[in-house]
Amino acid sequence: MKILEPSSLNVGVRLVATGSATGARVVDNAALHAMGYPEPPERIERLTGIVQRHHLGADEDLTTLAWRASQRALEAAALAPERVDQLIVSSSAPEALLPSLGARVHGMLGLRGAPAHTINAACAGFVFGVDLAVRAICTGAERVVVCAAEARAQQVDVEDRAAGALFGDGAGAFVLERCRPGQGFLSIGITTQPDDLDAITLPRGGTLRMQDGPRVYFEAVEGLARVGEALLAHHGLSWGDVARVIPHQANGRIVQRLCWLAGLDDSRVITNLSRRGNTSSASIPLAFDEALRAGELEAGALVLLLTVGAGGAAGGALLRVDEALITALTRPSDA
Amino acid sequence: MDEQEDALLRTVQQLVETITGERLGPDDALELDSFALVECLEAIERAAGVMIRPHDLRPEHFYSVRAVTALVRARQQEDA
Repeated sequence: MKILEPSSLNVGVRLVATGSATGARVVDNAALHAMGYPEPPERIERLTGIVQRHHLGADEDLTTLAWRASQRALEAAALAPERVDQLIVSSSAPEALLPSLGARVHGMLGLRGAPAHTINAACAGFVFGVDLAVRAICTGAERVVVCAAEARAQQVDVEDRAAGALFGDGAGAFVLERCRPGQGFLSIGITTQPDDLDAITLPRGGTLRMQDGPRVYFEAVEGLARVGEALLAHHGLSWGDVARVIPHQANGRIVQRLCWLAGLDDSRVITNLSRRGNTSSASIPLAFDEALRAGELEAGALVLLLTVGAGGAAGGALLRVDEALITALTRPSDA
Repeated sequence: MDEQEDALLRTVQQLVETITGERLGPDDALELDSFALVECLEAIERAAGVMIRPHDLRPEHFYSVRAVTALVRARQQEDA
């Protein structure tokens, strides 16, 4: 895994604001079962840790979700659109190929002249976007918005036992800005190891399929742990030095097994799975934003983000919660 | 099959029965959905005192009591 440490380039990158959005329609396990998912509500909860998830409402689409999350983050940062240097939007299945999701969100936000990138690294896409943003800031950009938005619930067969109950629709966004070296992000690392390309597939116009679910499960847990260990070892740290871990919210069993494997006290792991389900690449910024707004992240706290995704994508980041993030919480938002 | 493997096989059978409600023979397939398979495998690894690693798992292992027993036994021996 390639690990980037901004301070080694004499640059600092900090997270100054976050935002999130979820689909308007709440679908609990009973509703999902009524829609055709073959397992009863209590079994869904026991096996996945998920009680409900959000699906897009009738007047919503993926672009709307991405815009709402990004707009909330810009408002929290008190940042005028013309001061944004780049927009990076992750989605593993945008609703249209052209124009790109990034371009459409860019238009809705009213950014001027800033380039918009649209990327896809499956569930790991947000951390890949943050990696690009950190690199952009290390090479001269001042402020970058990174957003992940997914409407994956639309792309699963509700009768599919393996995937039908997991996914929710949501979006999350970070505003990153240049700062003094040593603040904010200690490091970020990403990798792609496409050893098993058929494990999770989503053909164009089709529905998501997981081959060999148990292997995907065991691989996902070990992938998350490997990323965390690599980042921590890079700084001579251990799991016990981290105040909070925010893993990709894949399903409850994966998070539990990660705790077991890493010897992590689960009270230090932030999860919103029970309420949001798996929102793919949006899961980390969505969980981060909700935890921040709930007062679960204190200034100075060391936070570890961990993700894995289809195609062998994996990544993580180690950052300190900046005072600016806490300040941002007091700003009004009407998004 | 040695004595320990035989005992382990019976443990696997018992755990599968507890979780699925079905008594399977050694060569019967574990025809379960992914979640139930994971639940079974995790119960088996706890009972056997091993941690199953991803590279232990190959599709042919999932589908019979005997094959799952063999993979857990191999993991026990590797860990010993």
